[in-house]
Amino acid sequence: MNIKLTELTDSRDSVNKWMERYGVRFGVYKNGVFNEQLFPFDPVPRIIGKEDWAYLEKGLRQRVMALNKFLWDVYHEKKIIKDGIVPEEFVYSSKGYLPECEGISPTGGVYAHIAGIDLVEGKDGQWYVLEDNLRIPSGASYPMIARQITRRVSPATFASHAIAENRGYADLLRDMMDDMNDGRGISVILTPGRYNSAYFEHSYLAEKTGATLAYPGDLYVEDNKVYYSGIYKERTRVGCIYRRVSDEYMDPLVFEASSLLGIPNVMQAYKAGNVALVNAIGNGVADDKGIYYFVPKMVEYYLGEKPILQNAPTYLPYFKEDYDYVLANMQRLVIKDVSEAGGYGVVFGKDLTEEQLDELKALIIDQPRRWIAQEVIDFKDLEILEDDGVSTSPKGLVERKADLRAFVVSGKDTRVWCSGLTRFSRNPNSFVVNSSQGGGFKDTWVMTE
Amino acid sequence: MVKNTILSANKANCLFWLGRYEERVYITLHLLRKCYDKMIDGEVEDYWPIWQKLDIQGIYQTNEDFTLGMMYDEANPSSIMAAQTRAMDNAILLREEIMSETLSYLEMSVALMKECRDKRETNVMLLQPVIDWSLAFWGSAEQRLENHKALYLMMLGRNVENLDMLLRFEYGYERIARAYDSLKHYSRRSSGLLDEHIESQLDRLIVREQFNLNNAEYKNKLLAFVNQLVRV
Repeated sequence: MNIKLTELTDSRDSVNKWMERYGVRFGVYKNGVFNEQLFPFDPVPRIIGKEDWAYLEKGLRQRVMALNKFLWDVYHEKKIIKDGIVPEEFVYSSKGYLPECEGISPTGGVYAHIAGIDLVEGKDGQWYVLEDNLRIPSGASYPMIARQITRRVSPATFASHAIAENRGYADLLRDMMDDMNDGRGISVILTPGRYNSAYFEHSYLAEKTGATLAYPGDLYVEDNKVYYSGIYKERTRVGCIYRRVSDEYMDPLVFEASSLLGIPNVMQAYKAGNVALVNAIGNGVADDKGIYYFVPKMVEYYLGEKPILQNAPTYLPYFKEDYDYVLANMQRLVIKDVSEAGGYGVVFGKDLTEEQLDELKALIIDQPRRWIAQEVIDFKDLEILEDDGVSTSPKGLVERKADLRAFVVSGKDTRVWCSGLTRFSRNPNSFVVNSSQGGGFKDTWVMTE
Repeated sequence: MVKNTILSANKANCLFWLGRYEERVYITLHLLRKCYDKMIDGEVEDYWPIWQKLDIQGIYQTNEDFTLGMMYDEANPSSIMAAQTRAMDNAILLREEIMSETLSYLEMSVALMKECRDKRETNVMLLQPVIDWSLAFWGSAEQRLENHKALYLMMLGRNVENLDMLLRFEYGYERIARAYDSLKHYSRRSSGLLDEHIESQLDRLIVREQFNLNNAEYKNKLLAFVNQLVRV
């Protein structure tokens, strides 16, 4: 594909100036101190061709539909466990499984309203799913605003290429919240507050969807209904809460008693069907790194279809055969602690000393359920504009590892956002792309021709 | 999506204080520019009495110290940087009410001030964009705020701060009466925001026959009432 990027790369400083103007930041805690920093933006986009996207879109819809069915099943009939497809140990020992959610039927039967599916593209062009994020996936706001800005600073680029519009994410969210709200009242986005790492996103999505940004203390429950409280104690009914507060802090009367971030008794209102929680509570059981292994099986089990998207080749030390394989091949595998997130708890065997390998082996032997191992996928590097003198390319481009977080929004329908968050590692030797660990992001262009 | 028309106590508080702090940025910068002009070829005695009205103690030893302190010293609550940072602290919690475009003017001001601070720039005129962006901020707010209650709360904050600063700097009766009128204009648009008892006291005190800011007791009473007038 012949894309002229000069106008975009030349405008990087302008783009970053605009990002600063709009306060496009994320927060990081280091040594207990909160700092906000700009999320480094690279102007060279990831480009996905029309056919590739059609394949991804179909696969993503399929995967998220199966995951929603799995969540319903786990908290209701448990057929997939009874039929021996997913071992019960993986469900009930998962930190994300919440017995308090047993029997609760969320509006429309939807659990994962917003799913962030992390994928990588192999050098052979094959896409692999690395992770399903079904609790509070973040990051959509960054490509939304980046597109708005890059179109302003580089209009000719967008005039001369057939790039799918991606600023409709807020419409997808709004439609989904309206579906889930079902006319009960207002919709709110519940944020833990300014010092949350994704606070920019919470406030930006509230602005763009027209939802009210609610802070802890703004909401209360009376007669199993949720209300937003006004300055003079006037109130308005809340029908849908897009919550950006973790499960364990949502209701201090049911989960973490010391939580000041949640809404006392909200679980009662939720159980009574008087409010929709987006995403549903208890979704962690389906985005557990151990459960990930079983997602292709879920697709076949619930939908009767062949899975379109592939997992990265994964081994569960829980199974004897995999256990032996992992212990024998640790040096060439990537080992993940299923209880960690955000790029933490991920180690590459090749980076470990003999002593460290032995320590990790001992941990796996002690708690095999806690770990998964994956083959290291030789995924495609993406070009980024680097100005630290490393590049030998005349255009200042270097290659770095990158992933793609695709967003799938489920209300009455399951819809895939025609874009995504492409994150890249700024460290030439690293596969870790998380913003919390110094990664940057770029726009994701889906071509329409 | 059903539009929420009520404001939480927290947001109301942020709106009011955003209005106050942003107005303080504007007025302080305006006064500092006047002062800066006197400093060019004047003496400390020419400008120091002005700043004593803000209760600033003699913490700055030289003209440069004073200018830097009034511009950037966050430990000095009367500095422009302190007011701008406080305005931003409130505004950042209000993005979906005031909209990103409106918020962006404050972001730019904070960024410029930090840049000037890091270079220890003492030329106040370099902060002219802060004045321009402050006015743009108010224009954008008036145009974009869909929730009129939110706008009136911000305007009340702005008018309270304006009146407070005019009183501290002992402006004349006409100017003070006009500022008080403007404040009441916004309070009439959204009932229940003013403390009626305090309002009636101010109505009684801000009249030509009583007006005397040289009388410290009278001035302090007015300042106390102005600062307790709005119920947020």
